[in-house]
Order: sequence, then C-alpha cells, then structure tokens
Amino acid sequence: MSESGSRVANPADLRDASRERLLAEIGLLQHQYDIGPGNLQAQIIRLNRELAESEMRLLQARDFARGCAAELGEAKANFAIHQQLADRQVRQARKKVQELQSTRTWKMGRLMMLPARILRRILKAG
Amino acid sequence: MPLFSVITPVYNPPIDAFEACIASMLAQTFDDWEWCLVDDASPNPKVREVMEQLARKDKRVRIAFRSTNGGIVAASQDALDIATGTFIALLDHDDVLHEKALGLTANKISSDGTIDYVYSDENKLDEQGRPYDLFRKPAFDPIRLLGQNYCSHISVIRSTLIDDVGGFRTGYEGSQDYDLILRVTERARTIAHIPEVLYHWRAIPGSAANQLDAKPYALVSAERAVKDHLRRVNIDATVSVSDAGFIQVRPTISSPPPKVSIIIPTRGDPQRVWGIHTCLIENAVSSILKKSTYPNYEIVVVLDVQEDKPLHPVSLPHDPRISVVHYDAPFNFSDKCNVGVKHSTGEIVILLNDDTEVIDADWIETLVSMLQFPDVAMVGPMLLLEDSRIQSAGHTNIPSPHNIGSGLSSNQTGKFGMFGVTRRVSGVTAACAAIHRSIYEELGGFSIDYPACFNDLDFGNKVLEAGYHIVWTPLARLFHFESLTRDPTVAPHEMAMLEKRWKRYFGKEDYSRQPA
Repeated sequence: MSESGSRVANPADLRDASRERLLAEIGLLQHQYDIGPGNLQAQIIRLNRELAESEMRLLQARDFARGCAAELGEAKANFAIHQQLADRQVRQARKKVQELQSTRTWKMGRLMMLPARILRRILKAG
Repeated sequence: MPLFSVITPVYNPPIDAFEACIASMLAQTFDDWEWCLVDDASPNPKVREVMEQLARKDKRVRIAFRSTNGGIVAASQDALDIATGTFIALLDHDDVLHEKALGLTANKISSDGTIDYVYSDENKLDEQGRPYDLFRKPAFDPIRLLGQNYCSHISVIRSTLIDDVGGFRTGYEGSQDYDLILRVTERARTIAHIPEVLYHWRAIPGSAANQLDAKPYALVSAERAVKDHLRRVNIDATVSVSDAGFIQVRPTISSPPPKVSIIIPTRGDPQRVWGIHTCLIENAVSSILKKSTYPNYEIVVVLDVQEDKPLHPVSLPHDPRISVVHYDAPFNFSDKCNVGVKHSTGEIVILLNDDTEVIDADWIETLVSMLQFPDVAMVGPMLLLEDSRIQSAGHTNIPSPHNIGSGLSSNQTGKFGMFGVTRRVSGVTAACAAIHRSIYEELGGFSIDYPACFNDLDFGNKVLEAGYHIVWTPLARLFHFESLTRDPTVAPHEMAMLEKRWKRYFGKEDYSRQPA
C-alpha cells in the first residue's frame, strides 16, 4: 500500500488487474477522497457556484480598475484647472508688481534709498 | 501658391445674393487666397458682367466661362482645374462666408500638419438675409455621414487629396459635394471640425437648403454615393432612403447570425399600461416572442425572489429560449444585469428593462447590424413613451447628462435629422442597449456602485474612454414606459460617484452639441 492510502504504488500495475481488483481500487479512492455519487454532484454545484462568484468578482475588479483610471483622469483634469488658475494668479500678481514699480512714488522712494543701497554694498564688499 | 483656393460654380444666381457672396469673400480677414469662379453659361448677362468686374477689382479672383451649360459637376471640376491653392474651399454662388472663415480655418490647419479635411458649423439665411437654423455639428462621425451630408458647409480639403480621389464625379449631380466628402474622408489622415459658424447657407426657393424635395435627383445621387463608399470601405450593407430623405444603412449580419441574449432584470411588478393592469415582464417577454424575427436569441429573466419565492406572481410562457435566474440580494439593477449576462451565452447581449415593449419586428436585427460598424461597442434604439412621444434618443452631456429628445414628438425627424439618422452619441440608456459581450466583460460590466441610477452613463463613459463608440439608431423602436417600475429619485451617493469618475465630461459633448 502506498503512502497516500492506495494499495497501488504504480498505476501501470493495474494494466492487467482483474475487474474485482479494479473495483476495489475505485472504492478505496472514492472513500479516500470522499467522492461518492451524491457527494460529487454537491461538489460540482459548489465549485460552479465558486466559479460564478469568482467571475463576478473578476468583473467587479475590472470595473474597479476602470473606475480608478477614471478617477485618475478626473484628478488630472482638476489639477490642470487649478494649475491654470494658479498661473493666472501669478501673472496677475506680476502685473500688479510691474504696475507698482512704474509708479512715481515707487521711483522716488527708490531714488531716495539709493545712498543707503550703495553704503550697504560697500559694507558688504568690505 | 496661395493657402486657399475657394471654388465656386456659378449658374444664374440672383444678383443681389451673388453680390453678397462676393462681398463676404472680399471681406475675409485672411488674405492668402484665390477665388476660382466658373460660370456655367448663365442666361443672365449680368452674371458675366459682375464676374468680370470682380476680376478687374481683385487680382486674386480667377474667372472662366463655359461656352455651354454642363451642369454643376462640370462647372465645379472646371473651377478645381484652375485652382492652385494648397487647400480647396467649396463656396456656393449665393452663400455667404463669415469674415473670419478662412482665417480660423488657416489657424486650425496650422495647428496640425496632418489635417486633410476641415468642416465648420453653419446656419441658414432666409430671403431677407436673416440668419436662422444654426447647426451645431458633431465631431466627425462617419456613421452619421452615411445618413446625411452633415459636414456640408464649409468644407475645406487638401488639394493633393482631391487630386488623389479624382475630384468631382459626373453622375452624382446634386450630391457631388457629398460624394466628394465621402471619398475624401475615407483617406484623410486627420479630419478637423471648427465649432464656429463660418458659413451662411442661403435658403431661396428651389435651393437644397430650403427644402428637402427641391432636388429629388440629389437623393438618388446621394444613395449611390453612399453605396459606392460602402463598397470602397468594405462594409457589406443594405442601403435605402427614408421618407424623410435620409439614407438608411444597415450593415449585413454575418451568417449564421450571432446568438443574442436579452437580459431583463425584473421584480415582476404589475402596472397600468395603456390603462390595462399588466405584469410588465410578462408583457415585455410576450412582445419579444410575438414580434421579433431574429432567428437566434435567448431571454434571461433575472427575477427578484425572497426565500426563493417571487415577490409577485409571474407567469412566463414555456419556451426553450427563456430562462429565469433567481436574485435574492438587495435591489441593485447593475448587479442584476451582471448576473443576467453571466448566466447567458450569446455573443451579443441586449440589456432590456421590463417596462418595455417591442414595436419593430426587426429590432434585434437592427441593433446587431449596427454593432457590425467598426469599433462600435454599444447601440441603443429609439425609445418611445406610452403616448408615442420620445423617451430617449440617446444621451447628451449638455448641459448635464440627460436623455435627448425626451417628451418631443417622434413624428418628426428633429433638428437636422437628429431623430432621423443613425449616429454616434455619448451614451444610450440601459432600458435597451445592445453590447458585445466581450466588451461588456472587458469593461467590468455595470458598476454595482450605482444600484439604481447612472449605471448606463457610467458604462457609456467607460466604453468611450476605452476607445470604442456608442451608436443610437431610429431604425429600431420600442416603447419604454419610463420609471413605472421604480422610484426615479437619485441617491446622492450615486451622483457623487458619477462626479468622482466623470465630472470632467459634464457640459462637454462631441456628438450631440445641437439642442433638441
């Protein structure tokens, strides 16, 4: 008898076995793997149900993947909108700075601060 | 060599309309053009006078006069023969160009070196020159182009491509532009649409703009042009002309015809239909069995049960084509569709609501036929309310996702034939939609995150995002006794889910820009 419970070590030994011997082997295997006719039917039903559930889960996983890609697309679109908005705000701010720097007040202030800037540069160089 | 050669065959136009046409050309803000006018032996001598005066006034104008009247194809071809521009623009002798027509077209062309064909939106001018009938055209839709020459005006074509296809063809009088556009679009590398009105089409008595039956010979030519086109692009199809003057193309279904699985989720509810107490699923199944002529289909009814018993008594005919799958989970329309598809075996699945009733016997043939067009994944029919008004003629995203044509009369073909021609859309309702099973599975079926609403919108967006197309056809019709079976209230989380995935497309639309 083999380790797995069968009396046959090598299936080739059964090639010339008698009908009785074969039936005995089949009975043993059915007992070993619990596959009587009624039980087999139940197992097929169970496996089919599991297969159907797996297929449904696969379908949902595919939908999930498509959904993630769609959400990524949405995020990219939002990012592009916010980037455009930010770019516009930066442009507007730069324009305001330029406008400010072209005012007479700014220019006069800059002129008045000229000696201080020169002095600071000299001190830095020293 | 100018960028544009505008070609205009001239035959006895009303002089004031002709002068308006001339004024619009001379007012173009873009300068790099020539205008080739060929007079087809107009009886009115004033026409020649106006043309000669124009040629003297502007050196970009090139004129020719035919000694005998040869018809519009001969005159158009003569104009084409003297054109030297890189692109050819077609202008009729009584129509008016927007002053920026050539300028905006030049901008579009310069944005992509592979553009071979450009068309724009258009409107019409009445006899007093007042604009009306603004036509907001779809992005290029080769299926709609089979039903009508919607590209029409203004059409601008790369001249080398016109040479390649052999220019205008005799024998297609009245539809010579349509024939040319069909041949050009078959070979164009890139086709561009400018969503601006660049062309004003004058509707004067006898012109095609004014009435469909003004030129019946044009329809005969159009039908022949479409048949030729289908032969060239290897689509085997039957072609006919509808009463409303649209070409109807039905691609041939392979033999043997593919098996179709009709999936009907239902609770088995009874409702009043045409005043009669009716079990909706029994009515739907009965109408399919009685009317459908398609030879190879099955019906899979996904029936809600509680402790393995139906919620309502349902009696379906004993027919080997019908199978019933019990569904005992909480209500989820999407899941029920997925379960139904899983239990079916057809290559093509038709999702069908139980509150529907078949009108046309060949409805399955038509839906299957439309799925034969290249890259078409999903097809929806014309759905009518109980009183025969339209329930849905596809979906549009403008201003937000909704059914096209809902509540409008189904006796008319709608603005610019939108209810009369088969065309691409951004979605169709799952009340009746045919889908290739392989694509349904590839895209993960209907998302169970939408138990009641928007599952079809979500699926449609998945279809488009994957690079497939969705088609709506008026050639198959069913009644849809809308929302008789369930509360149409939208759950906030379903809207939130839709926005999370697809909000970027709300308000944007490639195919149904025209309000119904």
